Amino acid sequence: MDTREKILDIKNLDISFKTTAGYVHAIRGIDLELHKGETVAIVGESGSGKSVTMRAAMGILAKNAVVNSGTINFTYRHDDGSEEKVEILTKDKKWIRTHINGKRMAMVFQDPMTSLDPTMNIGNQIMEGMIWHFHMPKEEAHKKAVKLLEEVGINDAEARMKNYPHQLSGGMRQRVVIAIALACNPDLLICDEPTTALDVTIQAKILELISRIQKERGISVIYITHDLGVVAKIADFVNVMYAGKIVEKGTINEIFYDPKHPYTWGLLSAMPDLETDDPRLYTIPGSPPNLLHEKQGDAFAPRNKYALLVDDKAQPPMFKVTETHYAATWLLDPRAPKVEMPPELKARLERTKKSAGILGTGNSPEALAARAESEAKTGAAADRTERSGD
Amino acid sequence: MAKAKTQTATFTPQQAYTPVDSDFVLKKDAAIEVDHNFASQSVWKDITTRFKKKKSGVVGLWIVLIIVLMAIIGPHMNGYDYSTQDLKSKNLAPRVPGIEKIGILNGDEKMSTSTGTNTVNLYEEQGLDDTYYWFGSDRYGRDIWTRTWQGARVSLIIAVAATIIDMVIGMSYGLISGYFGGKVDMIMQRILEVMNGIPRLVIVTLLLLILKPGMITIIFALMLTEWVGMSRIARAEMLKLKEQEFVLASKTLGARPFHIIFAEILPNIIGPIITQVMFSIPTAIFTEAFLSFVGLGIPVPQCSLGSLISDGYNSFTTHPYQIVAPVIVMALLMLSFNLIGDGLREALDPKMKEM
Amino acid sequence: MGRTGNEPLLKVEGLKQYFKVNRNFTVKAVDDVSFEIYPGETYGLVGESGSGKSTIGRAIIRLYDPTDGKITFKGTDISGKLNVKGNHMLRTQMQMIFQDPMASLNPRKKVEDIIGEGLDINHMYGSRAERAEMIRNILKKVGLAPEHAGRYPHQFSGGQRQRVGIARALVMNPSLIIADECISALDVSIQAQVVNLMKDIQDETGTAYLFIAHDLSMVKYISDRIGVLHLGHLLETGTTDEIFSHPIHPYTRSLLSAIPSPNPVVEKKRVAETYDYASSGIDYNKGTSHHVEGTHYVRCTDEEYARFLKAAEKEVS
Repeated sequence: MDTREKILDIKNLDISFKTTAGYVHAIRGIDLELHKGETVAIVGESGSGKSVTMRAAMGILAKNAVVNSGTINFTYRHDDGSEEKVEILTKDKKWIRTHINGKRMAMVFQDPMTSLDPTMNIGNQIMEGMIWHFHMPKEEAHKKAVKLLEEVGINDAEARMKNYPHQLSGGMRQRVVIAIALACNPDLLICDEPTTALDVTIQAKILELISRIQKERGISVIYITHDLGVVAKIADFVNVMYAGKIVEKGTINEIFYDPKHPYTWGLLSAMPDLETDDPRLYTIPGSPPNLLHEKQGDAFAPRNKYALLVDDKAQPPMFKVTETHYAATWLLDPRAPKVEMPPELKARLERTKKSAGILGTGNSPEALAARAESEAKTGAAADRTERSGD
Repeated sequence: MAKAKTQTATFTPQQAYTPVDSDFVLKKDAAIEVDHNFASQSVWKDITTRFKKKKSGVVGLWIVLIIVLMAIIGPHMNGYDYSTQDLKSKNLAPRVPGIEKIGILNGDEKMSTSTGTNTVNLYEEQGLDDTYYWFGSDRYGRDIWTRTWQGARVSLIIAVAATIIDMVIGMSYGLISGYFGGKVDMIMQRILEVMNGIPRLVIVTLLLLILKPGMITIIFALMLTEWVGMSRIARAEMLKLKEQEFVLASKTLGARPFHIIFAEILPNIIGPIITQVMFSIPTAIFTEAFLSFVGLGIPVPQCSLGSLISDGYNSFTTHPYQIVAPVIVMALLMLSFNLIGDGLREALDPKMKEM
Repeated sequence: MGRTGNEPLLKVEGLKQYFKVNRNFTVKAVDDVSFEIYPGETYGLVGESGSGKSTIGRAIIRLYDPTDGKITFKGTDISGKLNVKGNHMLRTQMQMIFQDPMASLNPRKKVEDIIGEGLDINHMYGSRAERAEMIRNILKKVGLAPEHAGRYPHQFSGGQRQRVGIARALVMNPSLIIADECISALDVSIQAQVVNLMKDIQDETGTAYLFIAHDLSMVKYISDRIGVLHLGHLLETGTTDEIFSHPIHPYTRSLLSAIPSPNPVVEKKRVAETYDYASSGIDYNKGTSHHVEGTHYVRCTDEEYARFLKAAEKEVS
């Protein structure tokens, strides 16, 4: 029985972009759900449409976007506890900017260099939203801003308020961007590849920060990335996107320990494994398709080692694996030949499952029980300490 | 965001298909297509499409083309040439065959006398029934139509020649100065500032004292003063591109500096340079006109738009039609080049990346 | 592939690269770095932003003039003023692949001219037909179709552009290719493609790589030996095995710890090791080389070394 509160509900979203070369069919039918307090990851290569989907939700699509179909329902609570549901695509940009952006939904972008205004000190940038949305007096906003800086792990918060962006390092800038996003207590935080431009040690700390904030504030997070490794740390649910469609979705454990779609296999295999000495990485050949000229059938077929004849003729529907796990691949059709994932990947998954304490795959009661137990362990994770100062 | 009017216009929908059992076989030689291309149009098609979108730029382009056309064929369209004087036909108002029947451009002009204004028709007074001056005639009896288009021809030649020479010299100067940087740049820029500080009029006057007045001299004079702007732009663009990785790559392949400047970087700055050229041409036209107006321009009997305006200025109160044609043509030329420059600038520099 | 010779192909000794910002302040981007690369092997140089890794690459290929130190390439000293022969050898035998697939290709040049530039400048072919043939072959080798030769960079994706960059370096048949963070700007799945391609090329041609990267995960796949760089100092060097199985310096350990593992249950509970130079009490300037075992060396003071070894042992137990 699903008692979770649904925050964001995207149904059948379909968007094209008008370019000088023609129409690019960027989003081709997406269903996505986000529940309160959860972190949902959207994983895909460049050009898969992951950023566009969230920009549609925030109402910040480019002017040449054409919404062909779909609804985006966003539910939030007022201060008095009453619920409000709004259909984003029916509202005009001005309304969204006044009522939703910053206040209910906030976004953290990829490049901290260009997300911050170089001519304003960071104190003012944090306070700006609070003053505009809530008409907060300046002293109150200032106090809140200092608290926010401390919350995101910046030492000497009071002194830093007067700093300008160019005086901070990349990691600190991104923390400031997160502080700005949290300033108005949004219900939903969208992170669009926030750590791609950062060093790997900083990335680890920013991920820990986001995960801590999420637990402390109970906000819902959508995390967009092309790197599955990053997702393992913070996500509860994963949606794998390819060429404007979601090709597999499920809980984090299902996707990482029991993936069903060949594209997900490819993504997992492309991650270097520090445990083995495999001389080669199995990769997905070729590059993502050009959505200016859509072809009939499965968009992934040209790069799919396990493609069937039907993949050129019809797009696969979403097949159900478990209540929460779905994959859009004809390999799950009962008529399809039994295809196993690549042996290196299989061996790796066995290893990771063993070290995680999960036994077996599939939906046998023992496996489900084992999975549930490990998930409970993750849920009651020990509190983490997080050292700051970058 | 706009809602699509028709679904099919914005994407090609999938054709419905129900799979049969025989479809569920692995494809032989599946995947591993050689990496295929992204179909997108060439850069120039992109630019022309964007240019065409801005209507003012297109309008400007058409006007310039029409004026250029007229500058070529206009002086030969009626029987007159630009320098023959005919004192019997001096100061005649515009008279166009055919349109005169409607009542305008029929040779009438208003004269103010001590007793008030009255309409006079010098054609009738002098019995010149078969004489037509489409734009009128000036005080020496020369046909203004022919002189206007001849003047446009001269002005355009001077302006375009001067600007192109400016472009070559200024661009090279700026590119070299920007590329080498350091001491070379510092010295070259100081020279530039000194040259820029000398008033244009002083240079031109000095030149005209030394050299014979004529088209070449004026081109030379314009060239000396206008290259500064072009060189600044070229230098700025060079500074932007100098540290780009493709320039570094050329260096690692062993390219010499001049190869890098002119073969690698120059093709990338053609856009802003051409835009600047479009803006420089009106400046050159105007400068030439100004010089002619103060008498430092091309010698009689040659005419340019500026000298025509200067001639017509003297008769402005009595025969205003003599100044109208050259003024309009010059104003249109300057405006149109500015519009083209504006349109080009936007076309070459798209602000928002699509998607 | 491992090394195929006993004489180092590239020898860097005491390299220093300082940049004078103003009268009072000089940035010491590279401070006394020494290492060697042997023919046919891959040396992974790892460091985060500000470590000086790109500067080292550019100093070696003489895009910068080294402030101090000696660089020997194929027996010739290339750190001073170069004569014509030295310059020619440097520009043909050593090549570089750059980080940004967008900026590293001239947008106004066709792919065939981009790839052929080195051939043109150094007169490496007899006829136009020969040039076209060489370009066709190299395109095939990097996995692009021959008809790509006539297109422009903006018509390709990031991964494809990076292949063009590799082709441009490879067509010169160099002994050493410096890959300056050439996969950092790509998606992870494309990174794997490019790394596989580079390995295949090395197997076929025996080219050595200096693989500059900012994180250790991809480096493991391609490198035979690794050097860890921080703030201009080379802290730890050794074979890939030595570094990954027995990291000594806390900075190296923090880099390893920062690599996310695709294991959600474990990853959610794990906290990455942190390392803050300012508060660590370590002074890079006072370090000397300590031999751990085999080819594994750590640069630190004696007292720090004892401390690191103790911490490492504690981890293993």
